[in-house]
Amino acid sequence: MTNIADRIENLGSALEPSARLRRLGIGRGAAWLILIAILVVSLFPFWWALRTGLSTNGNLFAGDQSLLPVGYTDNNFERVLGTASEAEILESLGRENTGSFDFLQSLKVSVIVATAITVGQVLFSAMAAYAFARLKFWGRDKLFFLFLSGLMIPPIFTLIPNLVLVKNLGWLNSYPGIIAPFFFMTPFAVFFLRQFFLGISREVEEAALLDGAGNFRTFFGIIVPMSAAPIATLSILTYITAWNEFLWPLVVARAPERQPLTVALGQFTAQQPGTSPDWSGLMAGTLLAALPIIVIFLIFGRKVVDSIGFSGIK
Amino acid sequence: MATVELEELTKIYPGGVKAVDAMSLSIDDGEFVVFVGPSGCGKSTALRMVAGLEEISEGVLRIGGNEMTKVHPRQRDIAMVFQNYALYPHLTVRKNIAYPLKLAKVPKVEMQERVQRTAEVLQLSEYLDRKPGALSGGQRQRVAMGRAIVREPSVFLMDEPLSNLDAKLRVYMRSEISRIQRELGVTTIYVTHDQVEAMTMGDRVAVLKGGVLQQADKPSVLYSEPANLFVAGFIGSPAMNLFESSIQVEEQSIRVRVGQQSVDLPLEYLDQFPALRSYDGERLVCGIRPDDVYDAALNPGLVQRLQGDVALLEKLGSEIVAHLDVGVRRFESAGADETEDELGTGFIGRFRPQSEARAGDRMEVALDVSAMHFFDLATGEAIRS
Ligand SMILES: Nc1ncnc2c1ncn2[C@@H]1O[C@H](COP(=O)(O)OP(=O)(O)O)[C@@H](O)[C@H]1O
Ligand SMILES: [Mg+2]
Repeated sequence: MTNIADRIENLGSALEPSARLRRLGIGRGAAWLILIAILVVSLFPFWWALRTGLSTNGNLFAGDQSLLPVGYTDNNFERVLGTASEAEILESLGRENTGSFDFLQSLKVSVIVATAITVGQVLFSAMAAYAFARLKFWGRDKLFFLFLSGLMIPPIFTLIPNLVLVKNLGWLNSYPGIIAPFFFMTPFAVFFLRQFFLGISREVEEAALLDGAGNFRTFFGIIVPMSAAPIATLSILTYITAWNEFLWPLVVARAPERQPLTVALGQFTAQQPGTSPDWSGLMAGTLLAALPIIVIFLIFGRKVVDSIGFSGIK
Repeated sequence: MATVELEELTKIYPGGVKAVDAMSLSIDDGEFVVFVGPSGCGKSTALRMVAGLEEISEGVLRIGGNEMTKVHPRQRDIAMVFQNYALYPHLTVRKNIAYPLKLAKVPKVEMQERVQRTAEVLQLSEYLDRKPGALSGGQRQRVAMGRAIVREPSVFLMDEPLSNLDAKLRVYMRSEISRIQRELGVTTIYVTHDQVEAMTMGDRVAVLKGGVLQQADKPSVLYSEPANLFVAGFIGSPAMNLFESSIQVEEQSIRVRVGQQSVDLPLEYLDQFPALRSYDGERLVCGIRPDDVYDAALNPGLVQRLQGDVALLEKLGSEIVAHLDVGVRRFESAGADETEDELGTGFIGRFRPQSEARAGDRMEVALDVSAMHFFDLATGEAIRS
């Protein structure tokens, strides 16, 4: 009997390699082709922005078929960073520089705003999510669903009331004004984390309770570290959303020194009276503005993907 | 170290489920008590009320003589081991074990010392810097134990701590836990649904059913003097043979009907249990353990015999478990746990391996009638007075 079984097994393994190779060959090839296509489609805009940013503004329309920079120059980037001389500006732009902004100042604003929003939102959302998931208080679930329904209110609805509020607080053109509406929590973040907290074994919390930990200690010492993966994911998503926020800072931050990059870039194009848009400069600025996010993603994106495999013990 | 007293402890869950019903039990200092019963009988709930994880609906709980009914879990000086270990996955074994000490603000040097000592007791020293994820089930289990014993609490509570281990490891950990408990002398309440675990580990075993404490006593007493039908059927494997019967007190003996057959009990039985006399001519439930059912061919000394058809033989090497049809149906006490080895024949004997019984044959079995049990048909209570 073992002989027959052995023989069948041998037969199987004899057949296997070539068959497997062929299957893998075709499957893999197709997968690679699709991946490459997706990659090209998603990376092309970045290349186009870089290519335009490295072109001379005046030559742009002459060589609009070219995949490479037209009249290569790095002046546009210098212009955005404010390190270009008058002569260089004339050369790349074909006229005097009219629209300019303080890139480094706006970068600073963007970093401060996005960081504060991320820290605040993740912290408070996590605390709220834990309360909704675990603490016992009257009307908890009703309150949660009421809160969740906030997901359905379009942000545009709250824009004007928030603006009036911030104005009355005297927070126009200030960090608190830009940060406040996003600082505490969003229904989505609370929902997202609550789902995860609900999945954490109750026994672990009870063990902590018996070990002598109170609610705060259990939360910060046990729950938060156990939830490192979803919290990291949420942080990155929040940071990116905050970084890209445009409408709110546009209305509250009129002063250039309080404008984050998104708003400042908009000003950059808007300030060209009667001339053709400064595409090269805009693209250079956009790329520079996106750079921090790209870097963050390169550093932490990998970690997030890894951490999804983070194995808690149930 | 402390005594634990449960006085009419009751738990009614929101929604009205009465999970534990007026449970009273006094546990001595240093005693190892096991709560056992089928799933859903309220063992965990009872334990969690002692821990303070579940509010006590009614009744009084005392630990070390002090009333603890409403005291916060932290102040009860108890440690608990959970079924799924409940380790902190982001902390190393060392930090897991040290966690309760850290919260209790034990000085660092002492803390390290105690963690080290605990790790030695549990043979965990080499794993101290690993995270729980990198440990086997048995090792995790020991870390959970470590976290409990490092605190030197006055009471240990354990809720099915071995149910996630494979059979072999379970047997080993049983003896380990017993050993550690004996060495430390800490009052322990241990919950399990496994009656073998209960019988082998407990100084005393409390049998629960439907939230009601059925009997709490030494394992040997539960086995030889079950208080009611439920305990009789639940304790022991294979389960006690239980069947409906009637008795007739005659001049020389008590005649016990077994289906169409009968066996005779010496009259002295009535001196021991006078209450049995009032059942003369009445229906009742009769029980005899498989251990007291012999192959008549191997035990010529026993004269009380029954004829039966052999339905199935389980030859286990050291013994033969015989399922017999002697003309009785197994008595199904209301709510009793269905035993897995039920063929419907309802009569099991444990024979020595020399037995020549063969499946399908008719054979004669001998009963040790002095070990017979009788239960009231209506109440299920043992007739033992
Ligand atoms: N949180 C709860 N809410 C409502 N009913 C519960 C809750 N926990 C347990 N029960 C019920 O109480 C009874 C006893 O449960 P439990 O103590 O967990 O049983 P065991 O540990 O003996 O299996 C069961 O009927 C169970 O359904
Ligand atoms: Mg249980």
